[in-house]
Amino acid sequence: MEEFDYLSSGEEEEDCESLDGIESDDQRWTSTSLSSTQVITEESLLAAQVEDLHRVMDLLTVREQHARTLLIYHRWDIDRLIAAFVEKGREWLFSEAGVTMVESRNSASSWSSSPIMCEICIEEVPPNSVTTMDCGHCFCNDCWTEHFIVKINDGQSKRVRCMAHKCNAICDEDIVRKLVSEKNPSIADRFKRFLLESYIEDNKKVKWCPSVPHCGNAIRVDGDAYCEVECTCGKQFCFSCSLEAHSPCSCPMWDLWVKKCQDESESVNWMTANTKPCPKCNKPVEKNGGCNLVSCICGQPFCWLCGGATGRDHTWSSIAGHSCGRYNAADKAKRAETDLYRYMHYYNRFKGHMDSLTLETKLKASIQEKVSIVESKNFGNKDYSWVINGLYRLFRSRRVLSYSYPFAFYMFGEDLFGDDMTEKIREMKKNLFEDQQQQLESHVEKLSSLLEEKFDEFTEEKIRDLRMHVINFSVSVDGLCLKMYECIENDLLGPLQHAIHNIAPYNSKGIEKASELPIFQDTSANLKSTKITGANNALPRASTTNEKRATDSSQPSSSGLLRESSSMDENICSTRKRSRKDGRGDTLIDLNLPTWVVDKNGF
Amino acid sequence: MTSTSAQSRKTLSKIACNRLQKELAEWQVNPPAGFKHKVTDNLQRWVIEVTGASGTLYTGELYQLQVDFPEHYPMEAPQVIFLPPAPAHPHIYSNGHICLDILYDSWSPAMTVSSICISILSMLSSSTVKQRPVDNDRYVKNCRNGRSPKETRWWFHDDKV
Ligand SMILES: [Zn+2]
Ligand SMILES: [Zn+2]
Ligand SMILES: [Zn+2]
Ligand SMILES: [Zn+2]
Ligand SMILES: [Zn+2]
Ligand SMILES: [Zn+2]
Ligand SMILES: [Zn+2]
Repeated sequence: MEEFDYLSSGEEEEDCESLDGIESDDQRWTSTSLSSTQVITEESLLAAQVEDLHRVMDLLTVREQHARTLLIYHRWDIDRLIAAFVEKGREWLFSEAGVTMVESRNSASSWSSSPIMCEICIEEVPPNSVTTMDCGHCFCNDCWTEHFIVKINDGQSKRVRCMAHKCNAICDEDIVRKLVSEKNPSIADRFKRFLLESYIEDNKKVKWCPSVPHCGNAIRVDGDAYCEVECTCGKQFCFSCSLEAHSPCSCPMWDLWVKKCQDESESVNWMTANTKPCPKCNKPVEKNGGCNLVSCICGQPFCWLCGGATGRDHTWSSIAGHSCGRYNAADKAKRAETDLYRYMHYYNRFKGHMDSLTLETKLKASIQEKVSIVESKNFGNKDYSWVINGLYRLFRSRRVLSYSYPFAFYMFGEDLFGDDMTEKIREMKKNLFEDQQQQLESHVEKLSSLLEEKFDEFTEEKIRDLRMHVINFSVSVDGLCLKMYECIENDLLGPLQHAIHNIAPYNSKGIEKASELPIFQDTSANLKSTKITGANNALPRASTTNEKRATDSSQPSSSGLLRESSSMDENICSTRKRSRKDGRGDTLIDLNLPTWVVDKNGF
Repeated sequence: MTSTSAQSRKTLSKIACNRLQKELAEWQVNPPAGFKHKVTDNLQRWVIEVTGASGTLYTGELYQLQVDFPEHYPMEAPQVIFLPPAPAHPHIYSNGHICLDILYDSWSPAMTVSSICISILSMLSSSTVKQRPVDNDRYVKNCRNGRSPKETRWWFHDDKV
């Protein structure tokens, strides 16, 4: 296999070179390598939309509130807005969205001192207590204010229309804010908030982080919406459906799976947890296979369904000499039972890998401890990043493996693609897939057992040996994950007629951590500029580490290698669609690093 | 009448009170043709008698409109229904609910009870057939638990009729 060639060559040459390669491998985990996903915090929400607002303001020479009205109308889709502008023209674009600009024709009235009749309250009011909207309609401030408050309370902040009959104009947000805050500042704040949040709520490129309790952040994705992201609060999720990250399952598959797990949990519990007393010795007997003839350790066979003692002779549908009628269940019932066993087969593996992942996550601390023990031993090679890299590789591939079971459950079942392939082709594809899945599985288990070795008690020689093994298996596991994704994308999902099953592509680096948006000077001035939350505490340390790393890598000896290996990274590690911009990546600060990783890199 | 129970019991705001008093005063001087306000001391609920315009399917027929005003009238639309029996009309349900956009989405604070009345009369007058909306039974069944027409998501019947 390719990946082994790469490694064996590394083994022959002396450490120096392969070390650099590994170091860069380390960086894969510890720095955010892109800018295609960003976290929008409460503080950067305004900054996030300023760019779009300014583009529209420049393009159409309009004021900010008109740009906002246009963008809200077009759901913050600038391309769509520009297309409408090019196709139908400025006039149409404006009137459709409710942006109306009338030349200040009635300035005369505001100069006159005679009272003005407000058509809403039917009162005469002094000219200094009326307001004329851009559309030219003029009413008294009391009426405007009440109108605004009713609309804001009704959740219609984003499109507060003029009060005149059949006038489609959207009210000037500055006027709304000014008038409402005179009467009720908290409602004015809410209005402001609604406008700001429209950027999240109405924008298909932006979604709220689904964390509970909510961290207050939203995530913006510039590229493909089928991706998985991690918020700065640590929550990882599928951007497309906002549920937990579930690739290589598609969103509809995952949705079905979650429901299925809820629905079946009762029957699965019954099947797995329920035991029956032996008709002879009364010990509880557990059923462990598909067949309904069970035997007790005392040797007594009995019918699982009715609990009655029987002989041993049986077929799938009958036990010799026994006729409780339950065993000869109707085809339908048997079918349901087969389905349940099929589900349990996939569920148990899915769950098994999840449980392993949980256990392995707990390994982190003990591995870290072992690393510090060997580090104190003054061996020649003091770099142990391969341990941590191996561990991350294990986490990553466990997840892939785990989610590949619900994927297979639907891919090769009748529920979704019953009509999409013949039985023969289904069987063939299933075998192809299971071969890869099993290969991945065995490599993952091997990697897991390697990482559990008591290497803190090893000799230098043995550690070098272990190191090569861990690296070998890390690379092969990565390659196998990629291969499995390619199989899923090209051979399984690709040929389907109804291509609604998109999956987030394989990302060797793991789930992408969204980077924080800078807060603009002008907008941050009146906001609290720093919000220290739990997740942000690592900021000062992480940034120092990062600077250090940046200087390290700028040394001429290693930088060439670094660049080379990271571009190779791009090639082997992500499937399909994703061709990420690199370059800026290494300079970004990773706020999500667990502190122990930061500690590690600070050495 | 079922629909009244959903009407908010909140008292009228100052703006609503003033405005309704002005509308009532104006009505007494200059009522819309074909309508008669039945005098009560309840400012928040008006009952108005409609006479079908001559030369239409409803010539001389008498119906009653009930108009309930919300706290924030006129920023919020009033609730307008026909008291039974409601006229047979392709936009009027047998429970008295009226499918007319100005009563819901297209309401504007600049409209008045008079302007609503005029719209309803013109809706009646333009009808060419005395029949219920096609979805009458289903709709009325859905409204049974005292739902207000203002809670309905209306998609407005073609207003040509
Ligand atoms: Zn207007
Ligand atoms: Zn007024
Ligand atoms: Zn979050
Ligand atoms: Zn999803
Ligand atoms: Zn026994
Ligand atoms: Zn058997
Ligand atoms: Zn039996």
